[in-house]
Amino acid sequence: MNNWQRVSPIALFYFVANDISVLVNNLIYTIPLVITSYNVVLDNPVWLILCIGGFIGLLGFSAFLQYYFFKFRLTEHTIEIKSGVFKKLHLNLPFTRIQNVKLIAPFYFRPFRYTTVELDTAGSAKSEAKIVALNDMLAQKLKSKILSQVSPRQRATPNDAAPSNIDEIVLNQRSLKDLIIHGITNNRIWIFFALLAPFMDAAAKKTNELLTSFGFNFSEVFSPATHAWWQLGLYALGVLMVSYLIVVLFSVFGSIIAFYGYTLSKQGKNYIRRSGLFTHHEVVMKLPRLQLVISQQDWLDILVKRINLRFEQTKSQQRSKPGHEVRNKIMVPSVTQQQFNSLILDVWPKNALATIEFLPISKRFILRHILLLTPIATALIGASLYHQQWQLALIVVVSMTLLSLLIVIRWYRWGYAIDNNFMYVRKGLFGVNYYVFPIHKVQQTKYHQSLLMAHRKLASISLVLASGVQKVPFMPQQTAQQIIDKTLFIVESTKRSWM
Amino acid sequence: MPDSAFDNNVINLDEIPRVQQVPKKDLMPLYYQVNLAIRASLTFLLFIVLLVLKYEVFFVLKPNYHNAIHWAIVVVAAFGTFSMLYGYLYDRAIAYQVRELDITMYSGVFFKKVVTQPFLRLQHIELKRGPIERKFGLATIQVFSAGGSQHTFSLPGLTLKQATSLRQYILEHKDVAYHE
Repeated sequence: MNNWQRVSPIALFYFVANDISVLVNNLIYTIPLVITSYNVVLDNPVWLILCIGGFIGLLGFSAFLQYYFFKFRLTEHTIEIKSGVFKKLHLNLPFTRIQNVKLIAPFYFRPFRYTTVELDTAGSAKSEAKIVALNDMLAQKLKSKILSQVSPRQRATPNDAAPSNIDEIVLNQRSLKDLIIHGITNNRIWIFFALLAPFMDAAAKKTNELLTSFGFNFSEVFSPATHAWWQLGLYALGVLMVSYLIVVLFSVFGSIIAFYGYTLSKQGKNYIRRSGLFTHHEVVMKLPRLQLVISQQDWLDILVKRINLRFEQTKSQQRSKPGHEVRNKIMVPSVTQQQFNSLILDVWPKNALATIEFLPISKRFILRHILLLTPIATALIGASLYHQQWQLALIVVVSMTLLSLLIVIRWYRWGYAIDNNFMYVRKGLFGVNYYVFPIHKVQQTKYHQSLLMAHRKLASISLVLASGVQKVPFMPQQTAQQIIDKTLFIVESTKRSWM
Repeated sequence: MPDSAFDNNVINLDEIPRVQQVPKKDLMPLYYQVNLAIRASLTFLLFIVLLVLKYEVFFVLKPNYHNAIHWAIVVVAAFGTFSMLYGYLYDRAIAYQVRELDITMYSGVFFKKVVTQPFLRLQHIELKRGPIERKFGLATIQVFSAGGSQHTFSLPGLTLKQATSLRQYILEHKDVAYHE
């Protein structure tokens, strides 16, 4: 494996698909052009065929060039990749720098048993390496080789390394029913739309045409001239419910597309997530890289008693691409409380999330936020009363009351707890999230206190982790200082690594 | 180190070191003065520009603009005074302390903030000197952790000598961690 080699020709599919997706994203702007020249094109079918043929040829040629110039080489401790037709790129990546190994098998690779290996590094978002179209077996071998690498510092404790001969244990699997529940309780609609994006405009148009052909005309139905307000209201409600149903349906599809065949398994200290209906994703997380576990429950989740479990690693490379987060992070969708408990105990056996008692934050949190609202509210109410707009005043009063209520709920949800190994934070609004992290992984501590808070002996703290910051506001000053002192003591006295 | 080595670590909160009970160290007075001077000269410069606009004779302004300039002068005066006053108080509020294994920075006039960065967690360290800092022999130290760029620990107002020796000290102590 020490020589420069090309990937399998199957990669051509990948490059073509990649080109198409880039093209489609840019072609959206030319749609009006195409529509206006529609008739001209129809009059010259030969030209059309020639154009399409040339276009396909160009795509193929471009894919071939990309394939031709894509080479990689594996040595004992590094992987090197050369790619690019015009812009040449030579990437040199030591195995120890690799944070995450992902195996992504798009549907057009799966019949041929090929997969794409994506390697994430700790550094900037740019230094991400992809080896397109490796044979499944080779990809697995490469994965276990990378994962079994230990940095020179870590060599002292060989038992941390995960040799590939350890058997995988399946920790969790999601059935179709779970995925449907997940689709209903969580908005996964974008997964569906991300897939359909190229056809969206056409679909919207077709729907409109179809409705019109049934004699349904938006502007007529919603015209106040032809209907009484209660009729309009009913219509609006009906449309809202129907569109909500459609959204839920799509969301269920999205959930199934992303999480079909979900398994979470464990091999030594590596956690492996596999799922996907069309494109099969395999994401591996090394246990020491785990910074934070989140139990996420929206209000619907609370009703059906399900939890989304999220394992958070460093947030160094969050790309804004929709869908990236859910597909590439290790998240277990809609587990039961019992499953959640067993999973979190598996990663951190000593955490006590299930039993620990949370301390509330100070009630002054409510007071402070409502006081912030008051000037705005008074001004609005005053103005509307002055102008004798009674209805407006009422609306302001009602919405301010609702906002205050939200503040109270926010306060009610917010809680914290700490033991000798972990810190626990609870927060939410309609839903409730629990955050658990080992204290020794804290990067930095912050203590905030306004003069008014100091007067009441209250303070807020922020503990910065590699995965983001966890803030707890309005706790007693003494507790805040104790938590910070304890955190620093644990970080500095145990001197354990955070990853 | 396996997790089990971490058991039964009873921590007596009364005995562990307390961050906020260590004496603080103020920044160099030169830093306050330089900052004050910068703010004062910026305000002054804006003032001059506005005055020139008001009394220049090269081209005639519409009366509307003339009025606006009046207001602008008032705003600049108010804002300039406020920024000098608040800026000075803000600078004075900054203090720091270095313990054996971490560095702490105090800041904030009305909203007090105490940030502590353990040396163990630092990724790299930068000594920054802008043109004005170089002119006055001042320096800023920046400590980067894996917490991300919003949480960069940045301590201004040190002399170059203080900053370099602090950096030296931090670098000597940063790698005391043994890794799992």
